[in-house]
Amino acid sequence: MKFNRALIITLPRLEPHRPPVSSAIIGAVCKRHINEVISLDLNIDLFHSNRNLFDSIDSILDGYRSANAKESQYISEFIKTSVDKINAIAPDIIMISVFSFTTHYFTKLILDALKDNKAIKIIGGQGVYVPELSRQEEERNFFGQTMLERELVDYYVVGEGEGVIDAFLRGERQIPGLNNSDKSQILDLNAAPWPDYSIFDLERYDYLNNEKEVFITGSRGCIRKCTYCDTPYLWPKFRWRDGSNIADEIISHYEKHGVTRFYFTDSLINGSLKAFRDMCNRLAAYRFSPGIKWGGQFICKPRNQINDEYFDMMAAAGAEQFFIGIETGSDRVRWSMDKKFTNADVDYHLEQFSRTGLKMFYLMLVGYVTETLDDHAETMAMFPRWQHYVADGTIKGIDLGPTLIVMANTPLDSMREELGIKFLHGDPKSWVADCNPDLTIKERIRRRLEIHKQAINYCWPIWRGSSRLMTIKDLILGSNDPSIKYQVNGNLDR
Amino acid sequence: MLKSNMNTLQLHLRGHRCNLWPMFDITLNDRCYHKGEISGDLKLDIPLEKGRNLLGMEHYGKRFGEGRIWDTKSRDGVIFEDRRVEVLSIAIDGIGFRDKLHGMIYKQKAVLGEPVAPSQWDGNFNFNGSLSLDISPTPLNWLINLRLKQARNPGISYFSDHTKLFHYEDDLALIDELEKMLEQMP
Repeated sequence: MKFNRALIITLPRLEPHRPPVSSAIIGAVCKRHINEVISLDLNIDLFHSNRNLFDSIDSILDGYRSANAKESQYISEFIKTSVDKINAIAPDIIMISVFSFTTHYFTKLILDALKDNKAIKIIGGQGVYVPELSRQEEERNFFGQTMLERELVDYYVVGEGEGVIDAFLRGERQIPGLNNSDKSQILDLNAAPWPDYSIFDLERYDYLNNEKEVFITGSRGCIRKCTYCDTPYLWPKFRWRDGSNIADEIISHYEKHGVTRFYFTDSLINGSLKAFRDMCNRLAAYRFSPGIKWGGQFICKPRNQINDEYFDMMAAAGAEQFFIGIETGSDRVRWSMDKKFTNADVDYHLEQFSRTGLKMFYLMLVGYVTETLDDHAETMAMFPRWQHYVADGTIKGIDLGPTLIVMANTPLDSMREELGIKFLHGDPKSWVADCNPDLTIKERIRRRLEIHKQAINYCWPIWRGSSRLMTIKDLILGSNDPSIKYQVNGNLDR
Repeated sequence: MLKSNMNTLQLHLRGHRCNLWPMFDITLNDRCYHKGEISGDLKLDIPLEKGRNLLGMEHYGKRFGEGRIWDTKSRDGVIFEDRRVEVLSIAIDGIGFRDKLHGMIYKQKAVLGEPVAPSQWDGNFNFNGSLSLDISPTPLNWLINLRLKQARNPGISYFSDHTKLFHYEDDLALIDELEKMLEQMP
């Protein structure tokens, strides 16, 4: 079947600061086969149409609460307007990007509303192959299969979609990853298409620095297997592009669209040190005018693997800000998370970041399953210890997070029996563990609040403070039911 | 490298001569760290105390016609010699904040018996007068607020609102509410 008009839909809630990369990649693939490729970014539509709802919707999408009557009414009207737009475009194929479980809510709404639309409907993205985060146990299937069984989609794509979609548009139907769970992984990322951002109106995004910014993907997968993270499940093999290939893409977006800021989607931007060095050296040699800035998620390397020149190289290449999963102030807990770096390594990175003008953003995970009161005290001590780097502007932000969720398909999930982790209502947010009986849900929340107050006492730049606390509130409300009984090992059987 | 718990205020001043070197006093709380003439460069490391730190800097003795002497010399409206103190840098633990002090109130002393209205400080002590800094409640908190805290801009979306940083009112109200809820939790 030959398609004439493809519509690529992006759904809330993604961040509004850059156009979505997954849709841009699928757009590039579609352009190889289809005359007309149109994008509809409903995420940025919602951002512009109702800022209050956009800012407060995470707790609904994360499954902590239901939409209230006013929110429901607005969302219903928003979906209706969106469907009118889709019908006016009249595509013969619709592709929907399902970023993660947080996108399930809107995906279901839009698919329900499009039930009578005759276009072929395909969903893809990481959110397709995860269970819905819901308290309804019977819905804990993987999302793509559920949507197919409900006849809301014609196809779902599991794994990396660009190869599957390319084969699909060539007319193939027996493809690993298409309506089956044989996740396809692209082995040579250098051959993967670059995202085509021309399918978006680049003026509509809420750029953080009033400069155009886009996503770059330098690698997929992760060199680490942090116990709470499902990246190794979603991308079992760590693959990376050549540094010069990444730099060439950056130069291309700079020259084509005037983009001067780049954010890497990589789990770790410095996973492959060789590719990272090659990219930095090529960017440093290119004469950008005006200059570029880039950043992304980054891992602290052990002190003996790097030297001062490593940081000079990054700064010379336009590096600016990095998000680092510091998680805790306790080396013991960080080690049990399998992070493989210490506070002394963080000290060295801070010193070097400060020297070279690089910026750091802390990502935290308070109340890990093995965390004791002593560990908690070490996290409390982190705030005065590194306050100097807040004052000099090296630490630009900290996200204290919502405390640990025992997510499906993580190393921690597979250790549930060993650690004696039990869920309330089968809810992976509300857990206790036999291995650490003092860490009740109440104690975990108490520590989380104490950490928040400590961050305030030492004037740390807390991002998303209120929305994270609202999530904690929902956790209290969800756990504060005396009729709830612990379910041994939960029932996330797959 | 771990930072010590003690904070240090670092001052680098330069005295400029005209007839005489400028007179300048520097105090922290009740302790005097410099008194009198500054001839050329003066660098001071002042250990800050745990509680309140009140820094005082006063320039005095400059003559504006007293005894028909002017400690400023100019030609065709251009000053070529001036008795004054220039603040080259002011920092806590190596983190500079001189530019952030621009616009602070500089209390000038009367000139020939005529009162002079307080003016905004521009980084120099050109006239006789004093400047005081209350570095409280703790030096780094004070420094963070001085250097990084901005006025809120309600027009910025929640997820990109950098102006909300260091404004903790909403968070504290929520924490208070949650702590009360937590007390009720079995």
